[in-house]
Amino acid sequence: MSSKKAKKDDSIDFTIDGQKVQAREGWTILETARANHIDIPTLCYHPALHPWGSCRLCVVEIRQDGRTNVTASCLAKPAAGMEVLTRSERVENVRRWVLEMLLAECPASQEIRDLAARHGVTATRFAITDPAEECLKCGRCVAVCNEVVGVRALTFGSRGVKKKLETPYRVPNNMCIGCGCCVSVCPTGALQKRLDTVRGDISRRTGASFAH
Amino acid sequence: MKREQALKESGPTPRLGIFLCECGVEIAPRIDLEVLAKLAGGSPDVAHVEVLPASCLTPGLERIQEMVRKKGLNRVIVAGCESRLLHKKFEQALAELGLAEGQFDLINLRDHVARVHRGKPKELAEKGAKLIRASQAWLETLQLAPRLRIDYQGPVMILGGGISAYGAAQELMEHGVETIFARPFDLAEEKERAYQIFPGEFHTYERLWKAMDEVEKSPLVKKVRVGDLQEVSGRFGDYTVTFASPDQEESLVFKTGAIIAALAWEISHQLPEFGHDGERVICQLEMNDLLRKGAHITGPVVFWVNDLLAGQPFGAHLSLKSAWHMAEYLKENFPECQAAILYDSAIDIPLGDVDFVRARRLGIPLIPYRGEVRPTVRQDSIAYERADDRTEQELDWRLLVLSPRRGPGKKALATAKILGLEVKEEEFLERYPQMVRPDQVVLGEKLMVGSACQPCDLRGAISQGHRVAGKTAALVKKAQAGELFAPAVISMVDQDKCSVCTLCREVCDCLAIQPVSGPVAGLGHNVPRIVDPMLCTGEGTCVASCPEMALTLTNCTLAQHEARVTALAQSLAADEVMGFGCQWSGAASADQAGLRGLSYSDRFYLLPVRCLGQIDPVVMGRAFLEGANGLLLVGCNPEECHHSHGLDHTWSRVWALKKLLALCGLERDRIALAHSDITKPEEYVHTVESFIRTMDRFGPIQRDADTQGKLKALYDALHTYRVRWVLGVSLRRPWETTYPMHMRNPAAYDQTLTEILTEEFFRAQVTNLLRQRGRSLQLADIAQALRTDEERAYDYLKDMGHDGLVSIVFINRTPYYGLPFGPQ
Repeated sequence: MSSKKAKKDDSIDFTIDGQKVQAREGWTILETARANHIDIPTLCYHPALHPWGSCRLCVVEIRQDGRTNVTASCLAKPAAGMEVLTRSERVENVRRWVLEMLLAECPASQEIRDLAARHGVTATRFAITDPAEECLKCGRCVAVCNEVVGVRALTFGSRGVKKKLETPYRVPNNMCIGCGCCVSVCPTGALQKRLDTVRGDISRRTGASFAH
Repeated sequence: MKREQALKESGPTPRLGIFLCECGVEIAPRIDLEVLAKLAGGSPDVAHVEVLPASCLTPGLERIQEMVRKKGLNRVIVAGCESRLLHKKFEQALAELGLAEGQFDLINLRDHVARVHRGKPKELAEKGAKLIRASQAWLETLQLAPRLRIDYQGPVMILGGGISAYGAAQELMEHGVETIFARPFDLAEEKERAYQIFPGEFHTYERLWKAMDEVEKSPLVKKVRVGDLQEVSGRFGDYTVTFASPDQEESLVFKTGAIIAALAWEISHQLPEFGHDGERVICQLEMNDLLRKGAHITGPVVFWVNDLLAGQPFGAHLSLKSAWHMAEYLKENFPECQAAILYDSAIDIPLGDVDFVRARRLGIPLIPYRGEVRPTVRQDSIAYERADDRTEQELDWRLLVLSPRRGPGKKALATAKILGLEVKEEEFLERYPQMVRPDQVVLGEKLMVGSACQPCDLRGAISQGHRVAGKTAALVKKAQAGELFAPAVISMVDQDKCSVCTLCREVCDCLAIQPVSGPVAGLGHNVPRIVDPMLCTGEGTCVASCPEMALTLTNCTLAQHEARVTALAQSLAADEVMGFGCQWSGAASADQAGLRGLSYSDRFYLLPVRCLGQIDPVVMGRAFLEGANGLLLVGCNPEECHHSHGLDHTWSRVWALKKLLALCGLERDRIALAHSDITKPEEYVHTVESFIRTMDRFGPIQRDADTQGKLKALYDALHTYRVRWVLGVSLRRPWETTYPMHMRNPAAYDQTLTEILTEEFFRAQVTNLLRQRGRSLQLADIAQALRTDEERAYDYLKDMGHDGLVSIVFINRTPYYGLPFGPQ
């Protein structure tokens, strides 16, 4: 990064994988890493949205004052003197678990399989409930419809293991404006296949049909 | 030369900052950003070029802000990724520094170039540079129009006869907003109307009476007696509403800031073919009256929910619900009376578990029948086919209650028409929420509401009123605090140029183009001349349709479009082609193709626009004039334009361009309209590659003086009133049902269009020729120069003379044609 004049906001000096980096107030560890060309894998994170912290793929190990902590880098704010490790044993362990769980959650997604393979995970020990599932419920589509578009046309329905992506009453939603932002943020293409269950039939414009 | 002129007029000199995003590893290794930075930085207006690791993250945004401050940048290009998703984030970051929407542009280098092309990094850098140069031309030509602050004066007016008015009034009272309740307010009459409009809603009437009571007592709600609605003019914040007076005197005129039209449906008796006789076979309206009056009813009563057979599927679950309430009421008051509900098994029962338990307890059977076999009404029983075992059954009845018929009602339609909506008889007023911005005043939501818009039950009507009024109240509060601004891109009418053809009003689906109140000298009454900034979606089809070119899209002008298209067309290589894609489908599909990692040829350059309807045919002509060999427009599916049929208007314009290209001696398929959908990016890829192959077959346009002259004539012809008018009024495709105009004979229209285009093309050619030669010419010269036969030329020239487009002077009995005398 270019020179920083320390005015009111001093730069926060810390290290990532031994490399000295500087951050400012308001930056997260993930943002600082990316600004310094340090790669941390993410899944539910998208720059257009507030960080969600649900996928746990971006975890890093933070060592400070003799304590260590494994936490999501998309949410964590750096402090001076931190030691951040992006590939420590604990971090790799968490990532392996996350990827194995994802392989069971959405086994049909090629993108998840590729991501897992890049980190050395090719099989999962968990039971696969739906071999055809592609949606990993990262929540990006819900967030984009809420924050960027402002329509809130889709949301999570049911809870726990039954949680899935739905529109109210499971019918195409009148409020959906059909912008496709949800499709654009979906990491796997799951929503691309299902967009018609959300946006419904545009012939509603004529008043000829109704979605109740 | 046009660009320099525009630059001089645009105020402070544009100082452009270009930020190239590495986007992690998505853009950087695939495109040589060093080379791109050098290429992009080449022009004089570029004050700053920089490569950033991640422009959209806080470090990147802060860096951009720093440079804007340091170098006084007033235009910013970020060559990174998706505009649709990140636009808001960049807008907020740059707004802090005083940069408004329109002063920055996001180019999707990642999905349109880096991830989809397999060229060498240096080659892709050259492509990126051309796209950046085009965006630069756009921004440099910008004449920044500040966002209008919306002033709000006067109370909110609730008009119309619908019950949703009470929900709306309640909500507005809660927010402390002053309201005018424009209808004859007689409590007893209103209650009676509620019974008529929503029969059988015994659970909800109390809630409505309470609302009516509150409204009656509230000092915030001023009640006025009015007759029929006559006229509405003005814009959000400043409306003038005129009613007929109830005592047949002068009209009543009100000034209001916002309007909520509560429109109720009309309920009528069921069709006679079902046996309705008003005595034994009645419909729910009459049943409701009987129950209210406490008439002693001996059974058995059968409620037959026959909406599906009557051709009103939307009413089915509403009728079922009210039948249930009435049956419940009946059994509670006359337990010995038998009641049953017979309904088509295809209907989704809108009852909860509790209701089923109650039905069992009260002894009300809910009987589904198979809809394919129509129940037969006999003297004492009704025969039907039972759904689960397909056996014919009989159900005894003494009183048969049919579903009512529901329709939007004449009054509701009349009011909607005055508010500017195109209405069809029997068609409900619901419109797809044409929301393209979250804070937009949406037609269906804020202006019109109620059961005539979206069929619902009583609770639904009240909550529709609440919902609309809530949003209206929020807008009113914002406006009163001086914080309500119109969006940056909206239509504006130049009233000096406007000749009141009202085409823009026909084109606009947003109801944004409104009449000015009162007569306008020389033009008449109720002249549509102003744009309501709160309703305008900034699509621009109206602008591109106006025959007088009297409309502008602020911060997105024709000059900008032409500058951008010129810059790109001039920079393309002989085997490269260009095109437009709308942000809902064409450009969105291109984004999606990149996200899914598809791959295609790099010889296609895409310019994103908000809606294809914004692209003036003049812009299409300019592209060809300045060097484009092929132009591909990719938009939404027919009749599915998210705005006001912009895509469909584009179809006519492309059609006209094809004819003009043929007149120039060029292949018609050099311009093409295609459709795409964001869920099928592979189709978009296929469209693009197919178009490139077609252009390869044609080869580049041979740009000799003759062809260039013809293309100039093409460009000029598209400016003429006649061509623009005939394009604007055409139905886009003969089979389209969603546009009010009508094309009776498409083949005849085709011929008319060809004739008009041919004539205007010739006229433009003649004018250009005369300007070029600088002197008057004889018929033979003109015919030879334009390669046409003298007889045809003579006929056209004669008409041109009539219309004052050429001067005809006779010397030695030979006519000489020259440019017209006097100011041109």
